[in-house]
Amino acid sequence: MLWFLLGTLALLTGSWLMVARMAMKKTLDRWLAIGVLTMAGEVLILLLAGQALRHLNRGVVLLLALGWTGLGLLVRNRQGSRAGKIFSFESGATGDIGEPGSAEIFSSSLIAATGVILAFSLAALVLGWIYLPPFAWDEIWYHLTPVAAWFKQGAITRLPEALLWQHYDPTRVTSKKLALDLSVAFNWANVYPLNAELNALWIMVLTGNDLLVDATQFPYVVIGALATFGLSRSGGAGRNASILAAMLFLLTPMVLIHLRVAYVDAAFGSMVAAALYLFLRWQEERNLEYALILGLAIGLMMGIKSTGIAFAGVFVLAILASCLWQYRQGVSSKSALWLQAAVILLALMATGTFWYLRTWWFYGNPVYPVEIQGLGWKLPGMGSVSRLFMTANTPEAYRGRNIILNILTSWLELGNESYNYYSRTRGLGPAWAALALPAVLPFTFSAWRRRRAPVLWMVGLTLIFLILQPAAWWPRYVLYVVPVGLAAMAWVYDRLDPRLKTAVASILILNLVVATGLTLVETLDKLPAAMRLDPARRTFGELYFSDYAWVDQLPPSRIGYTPMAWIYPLYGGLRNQVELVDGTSAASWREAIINQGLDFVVTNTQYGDYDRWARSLPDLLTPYRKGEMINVYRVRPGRGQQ
Amino acid sequence: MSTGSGPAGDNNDRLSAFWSLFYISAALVITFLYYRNLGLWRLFEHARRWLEWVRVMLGV
Repeated sequence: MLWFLLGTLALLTGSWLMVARMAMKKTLDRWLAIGVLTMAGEVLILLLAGQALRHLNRGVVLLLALGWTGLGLLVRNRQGSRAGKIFSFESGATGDIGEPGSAEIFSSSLIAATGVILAFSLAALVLGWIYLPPFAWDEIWYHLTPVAAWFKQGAITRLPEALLWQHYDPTRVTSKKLALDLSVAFNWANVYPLNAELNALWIMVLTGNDLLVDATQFPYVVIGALATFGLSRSGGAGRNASILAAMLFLLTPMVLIHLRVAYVDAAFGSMVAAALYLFLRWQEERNLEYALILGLAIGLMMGIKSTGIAFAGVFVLAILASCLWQYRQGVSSKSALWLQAAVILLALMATGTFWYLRTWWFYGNPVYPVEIQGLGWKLPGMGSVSRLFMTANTPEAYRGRNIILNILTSWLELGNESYNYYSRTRGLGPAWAALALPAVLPFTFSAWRRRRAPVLWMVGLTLIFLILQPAAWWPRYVLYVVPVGLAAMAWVYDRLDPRLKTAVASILILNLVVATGLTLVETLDKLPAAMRLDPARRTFGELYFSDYAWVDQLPPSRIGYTPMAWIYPLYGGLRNQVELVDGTSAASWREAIINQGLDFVVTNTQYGDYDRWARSLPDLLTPYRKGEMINVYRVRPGRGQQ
Repeated sequence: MSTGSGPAGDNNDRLSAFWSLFYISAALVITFLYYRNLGLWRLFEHARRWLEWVRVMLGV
């Protein structure tokens, strides 16, 4: 833990020193710049250590983090500090979070009540991080599995499944089974952008365990809360209403739920909001510092989720349109605009393109397995987004129904699902549905009448994102609408009659208490049980799925797995060495088991001939555990590596 | 058209009666639909779990 604290402190210090050199006008912008630079530094350091140097270990990462601090020092001392004090609470009349009169924040009972709910929720989440192991379907399937493999291998590599299934034939399974099989075949990790997962890698490398990996999205979500405050201020709301909006972003049920799991959706929504706010600020300030931070933020967003590549394209077009407008208005010179556009593009490429280039190199298509086709031009893939992902994941009632109706049903919380990490038909929360969504209309209408560009940009770009977004009814996919809705809510709230304000505040608190209560109980339902257990027994096998309980009783071991979905729990809190063991026949598989020096072999009974082969090798393998989904065999002592 | 993203200085203007009525009506209807669907009632269903939380926190 000490190394983790040191490394993170070095990273933060480096970013802080760099920002001290930058001409950021508002306190909020400086905080946001520190956040963006920190996450950009983390991505660059881990890619350098894991991909370029192939020395992904505590020493190298710590050294590179110290190098980041050194770079910060160099940048800061080059021409001295240009910005105001980052921690100053005396910034002028810009109305940002640092202005005098902070005490009056607490005089607002609404903010105080929301703050209490938020503090309780965050405390419960911290307990969840500490007491509960990673358990959610996708995190133990493909978000954390590659990260654990890189940690063990000391390098960022492709998982062996990718090599095994490089020429996988999708026609041999039905379309219903395709999504499952593709997950097994490619483990997604080999084709998805993984910037957010790198935060889990940072935690693993520096702590040597996975105790805190479920907090992976936390730093991104903090950036999202700051961006919500900024968007709210840009939209014309006052300081207190904007602070309320930032807190409500953190209390959005789907954001709270995703703060507990190592998924990427909350991080993605947060970075879209950050890029949107920084785009507005860059337009206003038009300097290289804002251009740099904007480019890094767009790149981070793009490198978190594949949808981000389309959103980055929209941002680039918006930036070019803004440059053209600025040039025509005579606000900026042609050379200055070219320079800024180049800085944005370079920064975007530094933090956002690695994963796409990697997939392009190996599969001939940056967004493989999604097939890209148009104007007689084609990049290879296995089908459309709809066929590969959405067919199997769309709820029965939503199939063939009007998209607007699906969006309204889901966003207005009319579904019956519980609040969980997978919820498809609810998750934005009754507070957002009742108070933020209806506020978008008067907010946009007023902005249109007054020609208020920031509001028109934020609403317009969000609408374009929604048009490009597959399954826009799925709340966790569209978390970027939350900050914009909250900015509208804050603007409306400031302009309401005082009696209506009281009514709105009452509805808000009631909805918050109910939704937050449900969210915490439904997502941290195992917490009381886990708190009663010894630390060694707070495991996936003990708390969630007994098929994996045997892993807890092992000393550090070498475990071989055959093609299967949930590989991550086999690592047993990163104590075990876990690797694919494969063969084309019983004989070659047997040879692989011996050559790899395995202690245990795990088979999925529904997949391939491996389990049958295992039973046919009694001289090598003895049955150890028979589970619901997986069987475990122990390699006879003395038959390991020869 | 302003490109400024700071507060526009229109903090003191009130929302019109039409938009106020629209906003509060929508908020009430959506909230009503939420509680008619499940919402509050589901929280009561979880009372047993809340009790368990409290017991663990108190160490009893």
